[in-house]
Amino acid sequence: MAEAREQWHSRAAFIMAAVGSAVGLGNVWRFPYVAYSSGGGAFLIPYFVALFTAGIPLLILEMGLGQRMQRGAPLAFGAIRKPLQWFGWWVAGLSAAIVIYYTTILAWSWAYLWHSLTQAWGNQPETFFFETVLRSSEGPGEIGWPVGPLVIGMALTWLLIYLILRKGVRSVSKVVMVTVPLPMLLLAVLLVRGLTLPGAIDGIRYYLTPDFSMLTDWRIWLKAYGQIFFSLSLASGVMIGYGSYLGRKAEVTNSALITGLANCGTSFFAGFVVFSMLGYLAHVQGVAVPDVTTSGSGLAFVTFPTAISQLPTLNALFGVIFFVTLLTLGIDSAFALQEAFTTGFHDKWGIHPEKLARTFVLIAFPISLVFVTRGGYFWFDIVDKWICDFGLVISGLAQCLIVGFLYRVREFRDYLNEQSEVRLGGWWIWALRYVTPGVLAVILVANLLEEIQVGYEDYPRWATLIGGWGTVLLWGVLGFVLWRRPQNSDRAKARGED
Amino acid sequence: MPLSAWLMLVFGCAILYGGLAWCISIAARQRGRNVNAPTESPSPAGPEDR
Repeated sequence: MAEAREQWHSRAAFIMAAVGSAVGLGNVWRFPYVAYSSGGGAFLIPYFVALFTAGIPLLILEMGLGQRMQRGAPLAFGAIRKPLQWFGWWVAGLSAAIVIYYTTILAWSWAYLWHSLTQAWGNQPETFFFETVLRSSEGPGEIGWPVGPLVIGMALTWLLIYLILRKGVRSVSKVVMVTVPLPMLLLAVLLVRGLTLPGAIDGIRYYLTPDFSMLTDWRIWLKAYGQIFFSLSLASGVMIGYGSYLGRKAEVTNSALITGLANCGTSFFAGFVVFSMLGYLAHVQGVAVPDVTTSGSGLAFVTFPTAISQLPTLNALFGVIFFVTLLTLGIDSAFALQEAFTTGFHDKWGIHPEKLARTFVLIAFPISLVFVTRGGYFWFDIVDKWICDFGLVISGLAQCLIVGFLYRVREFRDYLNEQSEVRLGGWWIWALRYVTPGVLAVILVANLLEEIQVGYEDYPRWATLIGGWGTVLLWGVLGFVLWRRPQNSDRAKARGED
Repeated sequence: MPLSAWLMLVFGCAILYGGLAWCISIAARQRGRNVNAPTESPSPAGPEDR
């Protein structure tokens, strides 16, 4: 007899895990900048519209699909139409690709955690980041060897992921009880520090002062949908995998609402942390807040270290707090992504979680070392761009169309409503069938046009073809192979067993 | 800080944290329900398996 499927310890564990997966580095380093540059406080209007018309509907879809099918993405989609298992493997493959490059940021964070003890970046943090930490080469064609300290950071990250996942969802249930609240607490500590610094209010003013005229620009609305879509860990199969570990009577809709609101609440909160620090930095340097405002790795590894060095006291302590926050924010997302991929192997071939975690880490660790070579930063940038701008957008679009039109979506809604604390109306189906796919289609076309007309940064075409399109398409091929491999039950049938 | 910034602060907090508190309060009221009832057997792929 087959082994019963594992389940979350409790509903709280499931919600914590889902929140941990959704809340990641993007909440700290992307949302505040996007909000500030897209109308300040006025950005909240399109942001909330996007959350309730696309983010939460898709979150409910993914969690509900996993819960109903009791399977991760590959077999869940395969249950709708058998050939769609191929699509499911491709979706899961995207999550594997993401975790392989995402660990690079955690490797940088480990290095900075060490350097923050002495603020080794001195007064030239940008040079320090690119030349000392990354030892960056001139371009993607000049790869070089992996950088020693980053290899150690990478190894630590993969070891942690293995230790967390080796007992499957049982160990995840325990770990998230620490790794989800901890970064929130640390962000609160950083906020208190930030708000007590001179100039902090100027930063907050830039963050919140609304410019309603920007709401007439359709690109701001696209940005809001893009921000919601990427920050909720959607379209990579994570929420389907996590939902599949819920019991058959488990509530989904309200859990999805809690997850979505907690994720966006963290982003909003992180904006105060970031802009209070930026306000202080601008005050110390005697410049305007926009002159020090940035996002992404530039914010985390250049601007924030500068602000930490300028603090009046306890610089090392606040440096450690900041990089521990990044590590704890990132690790939840990393193991959720790996789990989204490996759960398909467990479902289809019954492979034990420990063996899956070990095998995946042993294969993924050497591959991930490409991103900590001297040319690794460029490959990281290319792969990240293509997975987010094309892979996840296509995946999200296809998921909506598959469930909206190929699945009995009304019956699915009724099924969710039977056990739900918050009833879903017709708006949910409308959002899944028309709003979300419509917006994602516009984003996809805009991204494609931009890529064809201007390319990405100054990267050579061969690099974007290999690192970008190559990564996205590779999983299409591997997905096909995994789909065609017979399931354990198929093999038994072929041997004439019952 | 201008009044408009304060208003957006209140608006953001009301929707995000107010909404979160409301959803958590609903979940807390339903706490007695067996929300994570175990699955009796590993399920087939579901009623839509075609």
